[in-house]
Amino acid sequence: MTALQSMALLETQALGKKFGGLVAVENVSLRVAAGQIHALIGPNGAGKTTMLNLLTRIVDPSEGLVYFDGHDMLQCRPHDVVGRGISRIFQHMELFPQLTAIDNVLIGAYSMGHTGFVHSLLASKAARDERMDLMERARQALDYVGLAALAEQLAGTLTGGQGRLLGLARAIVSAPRLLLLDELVAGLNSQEREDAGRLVRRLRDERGITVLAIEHDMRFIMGIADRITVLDFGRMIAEGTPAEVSRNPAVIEAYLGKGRYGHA
Amino acid sequence: MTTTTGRRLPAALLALVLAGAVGPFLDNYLLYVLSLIGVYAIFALGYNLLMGYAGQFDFGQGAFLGIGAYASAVLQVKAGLPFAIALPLSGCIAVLFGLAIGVIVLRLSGFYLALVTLGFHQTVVLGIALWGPLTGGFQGMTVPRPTMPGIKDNLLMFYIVAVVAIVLLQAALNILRSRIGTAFVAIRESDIAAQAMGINLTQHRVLAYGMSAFYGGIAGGLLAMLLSYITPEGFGLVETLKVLTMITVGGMGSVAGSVIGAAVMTLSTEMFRLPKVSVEITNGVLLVLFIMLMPTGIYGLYAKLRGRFARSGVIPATSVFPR
Repeated sequence: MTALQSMALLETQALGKKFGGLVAVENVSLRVAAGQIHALIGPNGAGKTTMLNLLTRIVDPSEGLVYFDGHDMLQCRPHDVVGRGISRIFQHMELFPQLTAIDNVLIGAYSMGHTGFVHSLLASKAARDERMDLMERARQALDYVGLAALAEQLAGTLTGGQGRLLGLARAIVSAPRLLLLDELVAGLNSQEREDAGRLVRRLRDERGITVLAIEHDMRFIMGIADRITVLDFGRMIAEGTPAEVSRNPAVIEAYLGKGRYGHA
Repeated sequence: MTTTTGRRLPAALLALVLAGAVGPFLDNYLLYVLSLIGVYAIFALGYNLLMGYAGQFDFGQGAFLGIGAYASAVLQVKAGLPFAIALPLSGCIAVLFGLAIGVIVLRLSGFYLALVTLGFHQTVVLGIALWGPLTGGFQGMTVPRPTMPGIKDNLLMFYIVAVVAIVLLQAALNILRSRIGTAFVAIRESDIAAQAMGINLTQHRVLAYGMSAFYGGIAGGLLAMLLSYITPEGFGLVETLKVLTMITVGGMGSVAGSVIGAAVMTLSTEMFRLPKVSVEITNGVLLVLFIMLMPTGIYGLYAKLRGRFARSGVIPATSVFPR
C-alpha cells in the first residue's frame, strides 16, 4: 500500500461517549483509509451504532475528536454532514414508504441543490434547471442500483432487498465520498445479500466511495471487507484484515464464540 | 411522469383571464360565494403547506386568520391606510406571529405541538377581544370595502380575491416544486432521515410556519373585506376546525385538494343554508367520516383511481410533488 492510499479519510482520536453512567464508546481511535471497505463489527451493545451517530453528529461525543478528510467534524451540525461528503444508511432504512421510489431518491439529492427561497418562489430559470438536474441525478441513481423500472412504485410496496437498494440509491445520489452502512443486509435472503454486496463493491470500484459498514452477518462482511475493526463493550479489541481478525483469539473469545468461527 | 418542472404561468394566466371574463355575468350572490371559496382556498392552502406537506400538527391556524383580518381592518380604519397596502401588511404581521410561534414550538411535536398551538389560538382571540380601543372588543368592528369607480363592489372584491388566490396558488406550487418542497415532505416523513440528507430542520419548520401564517393572514384580510363586519368570536376554534375539515376532505398534502376542500365545504354550507350550529356538527361528522373512510380525501381518491385505470397489475403512484 502506498503512502497516499494509507492516508485516513476518516479518523477518530480517543473517541468516547457516555450515556449517564453507561459507557457506550470508549477510547476508540479508528482509521478508515480512502477507497477501502472497512467493517465495524462486534456483539450487540458493542457501541457500533453509537459510533455512526457520533460520526454523523447525531450525538455529541463525551471526549475525543473526529476528522474527515483533515477537517474537524465536531464543528459540523448534523445537516452539514452530507455536504461534507458523508452519506448514511440507517439500520431500519428510514425510507419514506408513502412516497414513490423516485421521490425518495429526489429528496436524497437535496444537498446537491443550492437555490434559495426567492428563486424557488419565483420558479426562476436557475430553480427549474436545478430541479431538472436533481431529477436526472435521482433517475441515474435509481438506474445504477437497478430499480429504474420501479421508479413510480411506492417505497412501502418494495421487497426487503429492493428497499435496501433504494436506500443505497438515496444515499449515493448526493455523491458521497464516504458511505456509512448500518446492517445493510439484515433480514435479507442469500440472493439479496449477494446483490447488495456486489453493489457495495461496485460503488467502491467504480465511484471510489469509501465504505464503513456495521454488520452482524459474518459471512457477508468477511466476503466484502478490506479491513475490520472489532468493538466489544465500546472498546476496540482488534483490527486487521478479515483473515487476521478471524484468527485473533480475543475476537474469537469475545465475539464469535469459542471455536465457532473457524469453520464459517 | 415526473418530467415537467416548468412554469405553470400559462395555466395561472388562463385562470385569471377566465375569472375576468366570467365575472361581469355573475350575480352578486354567486360572486360572493366564489370569493368566499377563493379566500378559504388560500387559508386551506396555507394550512396544507404546514400540516399536509411539512407534517406539523398545528391546531391554531384560525389565529392567523384572525390576526390578518384585524390587522387589515385596524390598518385601514385607525391608520387610514388604503386596502392595497393594508392587505399585504396584514399578511406580514401574521408572519411575525407565525415565526414567533414557529420558534416557540420548535422542539415540540404531535400532541404537545397541537396543544400549544391551540393555546396560542385562544390567546390571540382573547387578545383581540380585550384590546377594545383598537379592535372594538367583543362588539367587533366594521371593515371598509375597497371601491373603484365604474365597477360594482362585489365584482371588484371577486377580482381582488381571484388575483390574490391565483398568485398565492402559483407561489405555493413553485415552492413545492423546489428543494424547499422536498425538505418539507422529508421533515414530515422522518426528522432523522431529513437531517442526514442535509435538511436544516429548524429553518424549514420555521419557514413552513411563516408561509402558512402569511397565507392565513392574507385570507383573513380578504375575509374581513368580504364580511365587512368582524368579531373576535368569528375567528375562534371553529375556523381551525373548518380549515382542518377542508384539507381532510379535499386532500392532505395536496394543492388541488386544498382548493377542492375549500370549494366543497363552502358550497355545501351555502347551499343548505344551515344554521351555524348544524354547520359545525356537519363539519365534525364529515371530519370523522373522511378520516375513517377516506383519509387521503377527494384528491387522494382521484389520484388512486387514475393510477388504477392507467395500467393493470402494479399501481403506479403519483408523486407527492406537484407536476
